[in-house]
Amino acid sequence: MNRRKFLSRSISSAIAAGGLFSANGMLQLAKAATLQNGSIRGGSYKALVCVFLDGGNDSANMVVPMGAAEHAAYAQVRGDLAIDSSSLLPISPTNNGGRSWGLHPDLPGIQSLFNQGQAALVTNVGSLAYPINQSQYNNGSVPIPPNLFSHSDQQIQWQTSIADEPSISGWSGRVADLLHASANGGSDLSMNISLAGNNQLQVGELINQYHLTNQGSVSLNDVTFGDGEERLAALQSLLNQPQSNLFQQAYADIFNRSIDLDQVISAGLAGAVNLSTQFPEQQGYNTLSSQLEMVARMISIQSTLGMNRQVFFVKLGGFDNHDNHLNDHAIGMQNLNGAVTAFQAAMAELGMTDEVTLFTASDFSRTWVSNGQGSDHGWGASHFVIGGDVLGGDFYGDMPVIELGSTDTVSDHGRVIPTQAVDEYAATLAQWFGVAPGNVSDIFPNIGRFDSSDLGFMNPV
Amino acid sequence: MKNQLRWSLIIILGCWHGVTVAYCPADGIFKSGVESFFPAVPSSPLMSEAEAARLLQQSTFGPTLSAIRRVQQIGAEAWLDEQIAETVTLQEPCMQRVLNDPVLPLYQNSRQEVWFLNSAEGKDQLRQRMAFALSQLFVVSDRASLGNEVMGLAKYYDMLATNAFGNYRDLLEDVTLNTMMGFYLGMFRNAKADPVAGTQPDENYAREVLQLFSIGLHQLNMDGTEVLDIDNNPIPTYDQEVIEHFARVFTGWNYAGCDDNNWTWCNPTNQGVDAYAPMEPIEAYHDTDAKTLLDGFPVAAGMTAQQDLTIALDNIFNHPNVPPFVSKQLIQRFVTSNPTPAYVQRVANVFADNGSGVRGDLNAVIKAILLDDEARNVSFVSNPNYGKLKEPLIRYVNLIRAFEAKSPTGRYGNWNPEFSYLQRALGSPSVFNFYTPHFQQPGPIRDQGLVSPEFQITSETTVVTIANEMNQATNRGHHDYTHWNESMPLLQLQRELSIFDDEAALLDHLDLLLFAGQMSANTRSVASNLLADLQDGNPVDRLTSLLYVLVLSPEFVVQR
Repeated sequence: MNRRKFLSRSISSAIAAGGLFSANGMLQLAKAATLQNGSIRGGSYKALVCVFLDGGNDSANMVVPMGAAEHAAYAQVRGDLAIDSSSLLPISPTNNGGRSWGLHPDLPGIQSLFNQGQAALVTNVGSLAYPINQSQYNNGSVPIPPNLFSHSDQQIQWQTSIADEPSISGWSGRVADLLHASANGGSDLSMNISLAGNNQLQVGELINQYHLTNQGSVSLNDVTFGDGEERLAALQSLLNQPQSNLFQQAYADIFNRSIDLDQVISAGLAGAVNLSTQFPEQQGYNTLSSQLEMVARMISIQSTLGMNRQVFFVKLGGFDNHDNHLNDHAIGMQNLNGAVTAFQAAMAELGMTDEVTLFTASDFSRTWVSNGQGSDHGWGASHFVIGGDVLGGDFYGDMPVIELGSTDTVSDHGRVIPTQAVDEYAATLAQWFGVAPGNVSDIFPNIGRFDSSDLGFMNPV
Repeated sequence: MKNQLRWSLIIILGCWHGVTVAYCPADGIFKSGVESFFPAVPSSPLMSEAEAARLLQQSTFGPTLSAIRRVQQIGAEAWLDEQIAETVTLQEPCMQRVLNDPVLPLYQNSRQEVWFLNSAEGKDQLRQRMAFALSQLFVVSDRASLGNEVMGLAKYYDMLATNAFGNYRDLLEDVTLNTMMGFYLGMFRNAKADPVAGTQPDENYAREVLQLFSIGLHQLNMDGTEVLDIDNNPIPTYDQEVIEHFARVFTGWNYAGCDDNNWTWCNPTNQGVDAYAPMEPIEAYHDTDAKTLLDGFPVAAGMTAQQDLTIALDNIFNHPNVPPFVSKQLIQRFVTSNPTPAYVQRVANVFADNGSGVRGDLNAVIKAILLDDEARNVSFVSNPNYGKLKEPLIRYVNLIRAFEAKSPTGRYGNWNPEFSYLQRALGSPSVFNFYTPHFQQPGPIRDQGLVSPEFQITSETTVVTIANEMNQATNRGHHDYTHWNESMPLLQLQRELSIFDDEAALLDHLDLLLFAGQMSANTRSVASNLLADLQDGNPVDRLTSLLYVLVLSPEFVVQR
């Protein structure tokens, strides 16, 4: 689809105030039209899968120093939260800061992926307004993101990648604004699909996010036979009536989009190949495994749906471990490990290992210091990037030194000051996904404040 | 789904033993039978039936014909006073009956049943709506560590209902010392820093009581807008240091009745220990150093845990943000998502001073919200920004109340409402409730700088899962239908069938009950055409098809 056609479609959709495109497009079209000039990089299919670890994952217990002296310092700081050295799963990154490292005992599958070069750790990432060190933090000479250590704010800052300003859109929403038309032919199905409800990451200025369940799209019951056909016709007649009330119109828009896309997706999934990969059962309310299974099935029908670039958002809860930390965090790690390992196996089965990159994100890491069986809100955290195009088996960035009086932290509670910005992490992923270097600052307006727009953990496009 | 199977098995077993158990006896507001069919319009009504229905949409779980007539008879303010004076309907007695029953297990799903029962049938409708609103402000949830706390959460909800028209300061203290909140946000058994063990006090309650329950992140004007600095940036209400000081305030609290030397292992099986009474301090675990609270307010060293708590909650309560912060969110729950700043300010002024010099009088606040011109004046209805998406569970209970639904067992078998509605009483995914007050639906709502909290749980998925629930509740949920679940409330449509042949009367009646008289000409004509298209069917099927379409219509789901 050429740009003129895209524009005309966007305008008509915006006027109708419905469908995929946000009416905000009216205001943003000029900017978007400029952005459309940036061509997509890389021809074949690509997908990003964001695994959001909800509540603030304690990454200091996800990747732990194993050497005797470092582990002793770690154990002293963490007290009752420390994991025994002998139970850690060893990994051998080249960029190890002169220390030896192990993963959480419940991450054996991810350990294998790491050792096979399909998983990397990007270290000490966090929401930053500018690069900052301890003395700058203490004397207030460098601005910090507002409302640090608040769940809602740091989640939004992670997902907008604009830490110091309110932003309507998230970074993958802006990527969709830029690439959806050219990559996906302006499909009515959004580039951004969430399996975990509304999120900030996938809010675009132009392109809305689409919501799917872990069983696929849901269909209206009892509307295809008997009185159901008349009921559906009457309902659609009401939904298609333009409404002056904004809430009524917004509800009708969502409902109409739901009915239309359900037909396309249900048909696609009905014709999908059966995956032989078994996704594991999960503990508690978490459904990451079935969310990722549905992502795998959607990826398997990407060509049927005519999608060439997709971003999926999935979520795993249970990381806000103010209490009962060791046990609850272990459950989180088990769920993550099982679901992600199965997902990578499914990608291998589909021949999509190199085309799909999975990455973790979270509100923040947690305090090193225990509050007595628990840990409070921290800041910088390490994150996994997993896939065939990841330059895996290594750390990207420096690991903080976990010891009492560390200069890598905000205070004596052990809140680590990030040494890499979310912007740098996300810009690396976005460029692999297809954002041209010349467009990076359109998506990440603060990127120029930081050292790098490419942290080097992805294969060059 | 597993739960549903388990429950249906229990029901079958229950029937096998000849046991038909309602959780609590219905309290009689639902008088099925002729007497409640069409209560007469009062002889000199103080307001129109449409205006009365509109007040009931805003202030109850849904209009009924008899309530509409009552409001018409005595007027809005007298009706609110009557509601406020109504005896509180509690969950605990019903939970106790379940606990004492040899057959029924006590699950969180039992608590959901009682929520449906009290929300649908409680005479204290305004209080039950207020309790539901407060449960979304002072959030605790059975979705995590409270999963086994059925009775504790029922009592927590009762505490909210009991305090619904009391003083916010009392409510804040009752919430703070409730063991459910203590477990949920970590104030229970929160110890002062231990230099030997290297532990610090838990900051969770300190942070959330400020951010979510009382003042929010940014300084507010009385009209709810943010105070801006010279660079047009919002001004934080506190920083991390303040959180750490409040965390030290909230130390030293354990179960009521613990021995002073039994901090770690004290539990409700010990003599004299009460799992549900307000927490009590063990002073040795309380941080007695000096603290600095909001706006630099100093607290001297050497205070007891209760002294510190009193000072700290007073410090919060007297912060200028509390009136607009709480008032605006209550307006959003009852009336409209985007109140004008003037409306917020009028209510916040009443919060700050009820006219008798009392701050935090929720009785006065709820009346100010519902009697305000912006709530009552129907001229606002045509404003495209006015109103709110009804909460999904309230939409469902609207239907239950309008058509006086009841199940063969007298129970409410809607056990996992969160699967379809993404709402569940005291069961939100996190302390951030089902939605935030700031959520903006992309599109015209966001573009105009408006908020739409309930849209945060409204998606391509949930519109259909809710539609399928409504299908169950109408086409497969009426008095003439045998539902597989004997505890599923069935609409009692005998009254509507009695006027079914008079289409104009039927549509007028449905317009009043479901749309507060706001049904558009287009919707009415679609309704009429649907009845005509289905003319070969029997009346009850035609009627439920119509109800299904109407309760999914944009005009029904948005309250104006």
